[in-house]
Amino acid sequence: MHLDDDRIQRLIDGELPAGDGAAARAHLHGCAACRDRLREAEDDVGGIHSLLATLDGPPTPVTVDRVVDAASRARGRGPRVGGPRLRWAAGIAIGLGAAGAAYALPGSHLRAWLASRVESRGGPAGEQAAIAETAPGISILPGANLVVEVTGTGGSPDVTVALTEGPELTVQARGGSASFRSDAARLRAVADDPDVTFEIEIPRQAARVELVRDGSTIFLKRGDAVRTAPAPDEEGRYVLRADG
Amino acid sequence: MTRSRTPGPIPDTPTPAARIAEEGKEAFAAMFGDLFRSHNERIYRMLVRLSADPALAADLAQETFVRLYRRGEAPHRPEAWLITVALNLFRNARTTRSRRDALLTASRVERSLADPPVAPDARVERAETKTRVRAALDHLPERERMLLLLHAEGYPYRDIAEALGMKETSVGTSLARARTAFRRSYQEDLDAPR
Repeated sequence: MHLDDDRIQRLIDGELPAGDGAAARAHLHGCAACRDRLREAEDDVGGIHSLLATLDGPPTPVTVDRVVDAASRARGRGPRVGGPRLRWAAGIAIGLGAAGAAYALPGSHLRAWLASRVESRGGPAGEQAAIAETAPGISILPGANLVVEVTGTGGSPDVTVALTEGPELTVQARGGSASFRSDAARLRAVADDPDVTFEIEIPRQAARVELVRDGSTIFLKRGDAVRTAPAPDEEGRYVLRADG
Repeated sequence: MTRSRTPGPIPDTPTPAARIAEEGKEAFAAMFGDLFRSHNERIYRMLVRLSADPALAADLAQETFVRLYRRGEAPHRPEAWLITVALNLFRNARTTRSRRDALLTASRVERSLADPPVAPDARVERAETKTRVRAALDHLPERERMLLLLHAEGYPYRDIAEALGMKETSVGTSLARARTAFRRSYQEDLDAPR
């Protein structure tokens, strides 16, 4: 009797019990049809695995340190200063309906943050109030290549860029409200007021981050190299004025 | 009658109970480190393939290990436990998203992003292959989709069966069926007139 699909699949995966495996191999020795089917199935498995690999993203940013840090925060030691704090702030701002808060368009991680952070918010009330006053913004982990687009409904916004040691890229709007949208490779920030300026923190470890304002590249970080018109100020920030 | 007792010196060595607790922590830390090294990349990759969203996949993979860490002890079958938690987190995230945001499906998101103004042929071809693979995966029932992805990561049938709530004896047949369905869907898309 020929090998069925189950046996062929298990043979490929080494999941046949020892006795069954020996019997299957003995059958294969004398059955050209089953050998062909096995070869086809092996090719098929290899081909599918190669196709699935086309979906792969950048290397994982998850490290043991991040896990332990997140576990500690979840135990109630409070949010750490930096990216997560900003996420939390954005979530709280939306949750409380604060005027001029960030909006989370479809696709933005902000909504997921809202869900997780509002559900898990804790800590002293004073701390929450203080956090709610922070600027609307978004924080993401940049992959191998991230394009940040900034624009404004009432004109081109000024942008300040700083390189940081943290793992997350953050964009904060100062002086008014803004909308944010992000996916794995692109983050869009739209100023809703003409007075809004964006402050962007880019991790030094980010492989490639391109900052585009109204269709023009105004800042490019590739590895350790930075290409932009203005020199950094004394605090190491790049101030990219729309009228400059 | 009360008996007075003079306080003795503080012992230098921990009590047996404290020592056992400390050894337990060390054993857990070692186990956690081993599991993290063995499964971090695999779980993240599986979630990226499943979600088409590396940032979400990273969040979910991290949360999976956070839960293991907070558990403080090894699950009975750690590998099965990890992939079960990761898949449950993915299902929850997807449900939350679809309910609140009416998000674009993964393949539509990828299509909307795969519109570089000018790109070399190879890049375009790669993007098209990726879109087809995504579409073929999306055509499969959820369990078959997860089955293929777990299999691609090399998880044993026993763990796959436990994570997907199926009998171990039916994993082989289901995998063969999922393979055929995926291949057919991918091929149909390839053959479709453009």
